[in-house]
Amino acid sequence: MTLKRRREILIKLGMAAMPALVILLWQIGFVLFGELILPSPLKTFSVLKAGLIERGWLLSDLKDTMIELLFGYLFAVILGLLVGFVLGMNRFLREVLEPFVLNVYAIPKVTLFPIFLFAFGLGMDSKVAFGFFHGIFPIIILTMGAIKDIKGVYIKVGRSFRLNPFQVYKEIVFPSILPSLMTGLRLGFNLSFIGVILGEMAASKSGLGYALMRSEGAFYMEKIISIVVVLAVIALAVNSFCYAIEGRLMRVRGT
Amino acid sequence: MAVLEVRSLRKIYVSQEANVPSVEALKNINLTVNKGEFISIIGPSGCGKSTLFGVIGGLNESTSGEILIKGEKVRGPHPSIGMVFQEESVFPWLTCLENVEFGLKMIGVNKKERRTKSREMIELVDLSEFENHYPGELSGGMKQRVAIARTLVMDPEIILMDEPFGALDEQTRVILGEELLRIWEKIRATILFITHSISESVMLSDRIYVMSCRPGTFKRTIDVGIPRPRSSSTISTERFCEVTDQIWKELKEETSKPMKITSCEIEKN
Amino acid sequence: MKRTSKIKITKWSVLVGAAGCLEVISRTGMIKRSTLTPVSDMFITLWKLFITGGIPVRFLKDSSIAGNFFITFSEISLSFFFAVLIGLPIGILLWKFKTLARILNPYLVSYYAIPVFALYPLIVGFFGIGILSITLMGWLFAIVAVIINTATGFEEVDKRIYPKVGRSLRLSRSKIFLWIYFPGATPHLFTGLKLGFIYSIIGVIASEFILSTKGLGYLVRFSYSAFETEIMYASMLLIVIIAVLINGALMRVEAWLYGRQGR
Repeated sequence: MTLKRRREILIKLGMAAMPALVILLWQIGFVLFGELILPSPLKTFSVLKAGLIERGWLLSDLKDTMIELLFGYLFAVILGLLVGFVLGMNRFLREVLEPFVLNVYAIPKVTLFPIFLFAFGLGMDSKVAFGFFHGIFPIIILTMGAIKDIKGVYIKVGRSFRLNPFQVYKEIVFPSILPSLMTGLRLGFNLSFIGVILGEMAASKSGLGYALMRSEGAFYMEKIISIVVVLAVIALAVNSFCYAIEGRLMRVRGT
Repeated sequence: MAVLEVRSLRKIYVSQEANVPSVEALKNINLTVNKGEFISIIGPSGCGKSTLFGVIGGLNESTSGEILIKGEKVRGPHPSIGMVFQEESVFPWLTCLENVEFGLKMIGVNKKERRTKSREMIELVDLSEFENHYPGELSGGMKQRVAIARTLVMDPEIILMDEPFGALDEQTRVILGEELLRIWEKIRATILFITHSISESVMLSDRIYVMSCRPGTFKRTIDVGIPRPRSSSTISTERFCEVTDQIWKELKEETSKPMKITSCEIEKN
Repeated sequence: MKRTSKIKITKWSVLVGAAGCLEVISRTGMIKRSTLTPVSDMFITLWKLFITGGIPVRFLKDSSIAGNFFITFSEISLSFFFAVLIGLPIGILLWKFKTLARILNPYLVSYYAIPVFALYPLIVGFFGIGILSITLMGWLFAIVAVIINTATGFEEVDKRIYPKVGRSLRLSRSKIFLWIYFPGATPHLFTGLKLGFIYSIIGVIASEFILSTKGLGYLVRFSYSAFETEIMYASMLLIVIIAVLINGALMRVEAWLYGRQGR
C-alpha cells in the first residue's frame, strides 16, 4: 500500500470518526458533570427514537416544518430562477437591481418577520412566505451570475450552426449554467430552511422551531437535542445529495 | 464560379454615445476563394481580421458591400459556411463524439448516421481513442481538433478559421498546421484562414491577402507559388523566404504607423 | 445620457418609488395604520426616539433607543472580536495541517447548512437568558466564516509563486509568513472578517429578536407585541439602514483590496 493511499484511508477514517468523537466527548462530559449540566447521550437517543418512532411526538411538528419548507422553497425556486434569468440576460436591469439583492444578505431578516405575520397571520403561511423570502436570494444571485458568465463563444457556435432560440436555450445555455444553478438551489434550500425554523421559533403554533422553544418538563434537554439532530440530519442529507450532483457536473466539465 | 466572393465590403461601428466617434473597421474588402483553395488573410493584431471573420460568417452585419456564396448573396449564418473560432469553443458538457455530432443533431440527422459520420471525422483528426472523453481531459490542441472535426462533419462549402491555433504554444501550432494540411489534402476542403503568423500563412496557403490597419483593407495579394505537398523542409526553401520577406515588408509598414487606440479596442470584439 | 448616471438615477428612482408606494398605501388607509406605518412616519419616529432619548417608559425596561443600540453594539463587537480571535488561529492551523483540514472539511462546509439558531435553547439552557447567550450565538454564527476564509486565503498564496520568491531570497520562515503570506492572504482574510462581522450582526440581532432580552432586535419584538407599530417599523428601519451601510462600506474596502492585487 502506497503512502498516499494510506493517507487517504486515514483521512476517510478521520471524517467518519468525527461524529463518534463528539459523542464520546459528550458521554465523558455527562459522566464528569452529571445530569444537571449535560443530558446522557444514551437517554437522548432513546428520547429521539421515541419521538420519531414509538410515540411520535416529533412527527407532527416535523410534518408541519417539512410542508412549510417544501412550499416556501418551491416558490423560491420558481420565482428565483425566473428573476435570476431575466437579470442575467438584461444588463441594465442587473446593474440597477444587483445592489439591492446583494444588500439584503446583510440584513438580519428575522427582524422583518412581523411584516410577514401581519401579512399572513400566525399560521403556516407566514412561515412559507418567510422561507420563500430567505431562499430566493441565493437562487437569483447564482442564476444571474451563471447566465452572465456564459462564454460568448458558445453562443457564437450556436449562431454559426443557425440554432433557433429554443435550441440555444436547451442545448447551450442550460448545460452551461447547470453547475452554478445547482449551487444556487442548494444554498436556496439551506436559507429557506433557516427561514422556516427561525419563523417557527419566533412565532408559531407548530413545527420543529416551535417545538424547540416550547419544550419543557421531563427530558427537556434530551428533546431539544433530538430536534437539533433531526434538523442536522435533514440539512446534511440534502446538502450531501446536492454536493454529489455538483461534484459530478464539475468533474464532467473538467473544472 | 468562386465558392466565396466578397465585394466592396465595408463595416462601420456606429457610436451610440455623443463624444465617441464612429469607427470604420473594414473598408473596400474584395476577395475571392475558389473551390479547393487554401487562402490566408494576414494582418497585424487589431486590424479587423476577426471583424471580417464575423461579418463573412454572418455573425455581424456589414454596413455595405456583398458576400456571395456560389453566386448567391448571403446575409447571416449560412449552412454552406463553417466556422472555427480562436477561443476554446468545444462544449465541456459533451464528449468529443457528442461535440462533433452537435451540428448534425441540430439539423435533425438521425442518430445512426450522425454517429457514423462523426466517427469518421474524429478519425480524420486523429482522436479516435478520445471520442468518449470529455474536453476537460484534453489538451488545447486536441480541443481545437475536435472543433475542426465538428465543422468538417457538416460538409460546408467553405470553412472560415479565425486564428484557430492562436491560443496554443509554438510547437503545437506547427504540428496542428501540418495536421490541417494533411486533412485538407485528403478531403480538399475550401479554407479561408485568418492568422497573424507569417510562417503559418506561407506554409499553409495558396494565396495570401495582406491586410492593413485602420481601417482594415487589403494592401496586397500574394501568390505563394510553392508546390504541394509541402513539408517541414519547405520552410528553408528560397521561395518561402522570398514570400515571407514580402509579407514582412508590408506588415512592417503597418505596425510602424502611429497607434490609434480606439479603433483597435473596438475591433478586438 | 451617460450609462452610469442612467443606472444610478434608475436605482434611486426604484428606491424612492417603492417608498413612495408604501407611503401612499398606508396614508390612504389601503392598509391599516396599525399594520403599516407610512415611510415618512418611520423616519420621524426614529428621529424622535433618538433625540428625546425615550419611548414612553411603560413599554420598555430600558427606555432609550440609544441604550438598546449600545447593548446590541457591544454584543456584536464582542462576538466578532472572539470570532476573529479564535477563528483566525484555527484557520491558520487548518492551513498548516492539511490532513486535519481535509478531515474537518465536510463538516465546515456543511456548517452553515444547519440552522445554527436551533442551538439556542441549548445555549440558553446552559447560560440562561442574557447577554452571554446572545454573544455566544453571534460568535457561533460568525466563527466558521472566519476560519474558512482564513484557511482559503493562505492556501491561495500557496498556489502562487510568491513564497518561492521568498525562499529564493533566503528569507526566514517567519519573515516569509509575515511579509509574503499575510499580505497575500489579506483580501481573503478581509472577506472572512467582513462575513464574520455581518454574521455577528445577524446572529446577535436575530437572537435578540427571538429571545427578547435587550437590544435592537428585542426592540422590534417588543414593540410588535405591544402593538406599537410605529416604533416597530422605526426600529426595523434603523436595523436595515445600519446593516446596509456597514455592508456597503465593507464591500467597498473588500473590492479595493482585491483590486489592488489585480483580481
